[in-house]
Amino acid sequence: MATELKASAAAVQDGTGTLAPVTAAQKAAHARRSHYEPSTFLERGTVIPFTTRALAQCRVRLDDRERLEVVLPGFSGSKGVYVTAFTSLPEITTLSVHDRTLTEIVATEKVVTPTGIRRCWLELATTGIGGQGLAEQAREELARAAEVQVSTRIMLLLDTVRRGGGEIGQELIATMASTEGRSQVRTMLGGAASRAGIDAVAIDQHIEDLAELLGTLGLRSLPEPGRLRHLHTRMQEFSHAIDNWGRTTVSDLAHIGRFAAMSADHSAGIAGRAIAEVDRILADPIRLMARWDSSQKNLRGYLLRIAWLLDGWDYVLRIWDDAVAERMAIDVAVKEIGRIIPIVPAREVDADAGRRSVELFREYRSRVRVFEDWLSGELDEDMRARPESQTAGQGEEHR
Amino acid sequence: MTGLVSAEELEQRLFTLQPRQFLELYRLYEKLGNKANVQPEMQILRRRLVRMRPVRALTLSRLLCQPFEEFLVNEATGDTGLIMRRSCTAIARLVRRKLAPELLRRFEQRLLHLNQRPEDRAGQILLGREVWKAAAAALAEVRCGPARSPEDLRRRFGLITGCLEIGEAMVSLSRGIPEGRVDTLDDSGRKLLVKLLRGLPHDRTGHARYLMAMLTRRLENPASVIQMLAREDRNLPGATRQNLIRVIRGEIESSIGASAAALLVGEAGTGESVRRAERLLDRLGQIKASGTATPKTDRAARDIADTLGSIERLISVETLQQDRQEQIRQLLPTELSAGLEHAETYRELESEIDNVIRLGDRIDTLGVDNPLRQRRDRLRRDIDGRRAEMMRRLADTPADPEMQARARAGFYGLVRMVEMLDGPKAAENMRRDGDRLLAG
Repeated sequence: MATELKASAAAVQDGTGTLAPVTAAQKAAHARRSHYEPSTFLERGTVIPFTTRALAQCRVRLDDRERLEVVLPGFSGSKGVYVTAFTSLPEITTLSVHDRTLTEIVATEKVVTPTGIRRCWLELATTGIGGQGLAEQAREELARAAEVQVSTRIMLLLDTVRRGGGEIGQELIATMASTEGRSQVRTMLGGAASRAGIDAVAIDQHIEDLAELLGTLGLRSLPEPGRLRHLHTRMQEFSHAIDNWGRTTVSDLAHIGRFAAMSADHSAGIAGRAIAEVDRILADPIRLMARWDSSQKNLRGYLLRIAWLLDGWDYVLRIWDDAVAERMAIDVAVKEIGRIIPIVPAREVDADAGRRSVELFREYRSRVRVFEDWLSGELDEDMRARPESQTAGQGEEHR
Repeated sequence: MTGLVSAEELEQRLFTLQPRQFLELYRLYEKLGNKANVQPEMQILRRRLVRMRPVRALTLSRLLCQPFEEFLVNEATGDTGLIMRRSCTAIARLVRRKLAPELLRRFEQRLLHLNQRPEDRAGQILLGREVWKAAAAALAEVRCGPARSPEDLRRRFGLITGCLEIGEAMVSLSRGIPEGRVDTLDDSGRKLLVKLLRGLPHDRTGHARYLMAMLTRRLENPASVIQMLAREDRNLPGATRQNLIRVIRGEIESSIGASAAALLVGEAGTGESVRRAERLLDRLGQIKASGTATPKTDRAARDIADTLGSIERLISVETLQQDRQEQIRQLLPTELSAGLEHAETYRELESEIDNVIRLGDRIDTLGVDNPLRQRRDRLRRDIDGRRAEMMRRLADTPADPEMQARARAGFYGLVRMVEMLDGPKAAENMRRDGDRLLAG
């Protein structure tokens, strides 16, 4: 069953059954309660990469009874979000076969995190059900992650051996993947193992686990960054670009451009701090190995956080690229960006950043249209009634 | 470029820089000026600049080119009313040579001052007004000899001089239209256009054609300007409106005619031809919808349809890189790389189906003979044949996971094409049937 979370009431009914005027404070309080302003990542949900236009950038999350539900921002041009059961999606709109199959997979596996959804989507897309373009994109992404994984492992081994007082030569790097090469490397890890207080085999295994874990981010020192690191850089570029556009354009949508720039800057800033934390942990591999359990847990936490923070931005950047390359009208692109812009939930960040998130949510819903209150973005019944009463009055005069 | 770092390495390093670092580096290069020895690096920087769009420092060349900015193109398109971007340097050099050194120095000083206050748009226009006037006067003295300058070059030269002569109006109109693809003028754009037309000096009223040419080039639906002008009976005299409508109609006809004639596969490749054809058909559709079609635009529509019909296969994807496919095959497990087996054939088929549908639908709206309709039927028969063959083979697929993955990838690729031709419901039924057969 669908629920409209849009603010609706602008007047409250008193005990006598007549409509009483609403104060500004009441309106603001009502707006806070009734608007979509998720306070956690789980509440915001994860973007599910549907190809059906009407469902672009909808988010999947768990409801109170742990069932999957989907959040559709600005569905059918409305201002709020539309929330419905995940399984009822085919009843709302005609889904492409890709989307229908993805819905089935997500429902079966019941995944709601960005990494889980991404994995499901990549596996499905490689089959070609969403078209060969998507399949190619998915295979390329998986292959890049595998390459980043290999490079990360080599870099971590080189660094760990060096810190243990050894040096891996060029010949050994070339044969590292072989059984013989691996046993040679393990011998060289002895110095680091004794410093970390664990055995060399465990260190080698930990490095392999780390490389797998870092496939989407990669190390700072790698020439080819991982997907998330690259996305983070692109977000900063986007923030510059759309801010410049917002400042120089004559379009009515300039304010959405500036809002998008602020949101990108905010998310990228917080993600940047999480990435810096990952880099800090990886800067001293011996220390990391010595405290493997806690460090690994921390790393996993930071990586998931980065994935949450950057979730939904790749689509925004793709639209912007299309607009810049004139494959799409810029006004259409900016409107679409304004509809789906991801904002960091306030409870997921510290107090200062949280305040900024609240400001951004306020900015998001206060894009005022006709008959809407400019502070809350609510439908202003008084304002709506004014022209109606004027028309009625004119009608009486004419009579 | 140093001998120690290759262009590819340099590009890789520049693209991994943080945006702020990159912008600092760009500013440094910009201070070096437009010198030949930094051009290779600037070419690399520009590729990232396109994405970042920073506010660029105003130079005399940039200011000079602002009035005809909308007519600049990166590569020849066959349209005669356009100027190659790379010729800007030569134009600026010519103007510099012709201007008095004292005047040039004064301009440079004011530019330096303006660059410290990038938000001072009024200051830029004030300086621009003087620069454009002086440049127009300087270029008017240049004689294009008949022996060295063909007719086309003289026309382009005339366009540059004309735009400079009404530089302020050209720049105002250009800035009054939002960047990127814009369909039509909004209300503020309409008011601005009327104001600019009314404000043209008496001896420059003929220059309105440059404003109209800009709109033809800039708007996706230039025919909307004709309708708009027809409604401006309060602000513009009847004769002026009729003249302007004639001018813009002529501009549209010549622009579409030239582009339709240039739609040859041999020159641009099918991908580029399809992209251009789609844009042209969109434009023609809008002209027809606005009721401003002329015999010339109808002929252009027929020519485009014929050209598209003569292209043997409407495939607009490039060939896959074989070495990269091999790398991917080695990097990924079979379940994820199984689709590569059919990738080349399927993406070509998909591209052809996509182009035939998109272009065919557009041709249909123009009411001319559609040579792509038969092709669509032929593609459907082809896919139906493949589908029947695939369904027969699916039932015999062994239970081995790798074989299953291969069969599924081959089958799902066909499902997608059925979806494109017959819609999601038919495709969904096909998928369910196939999955059932695969599950045994």
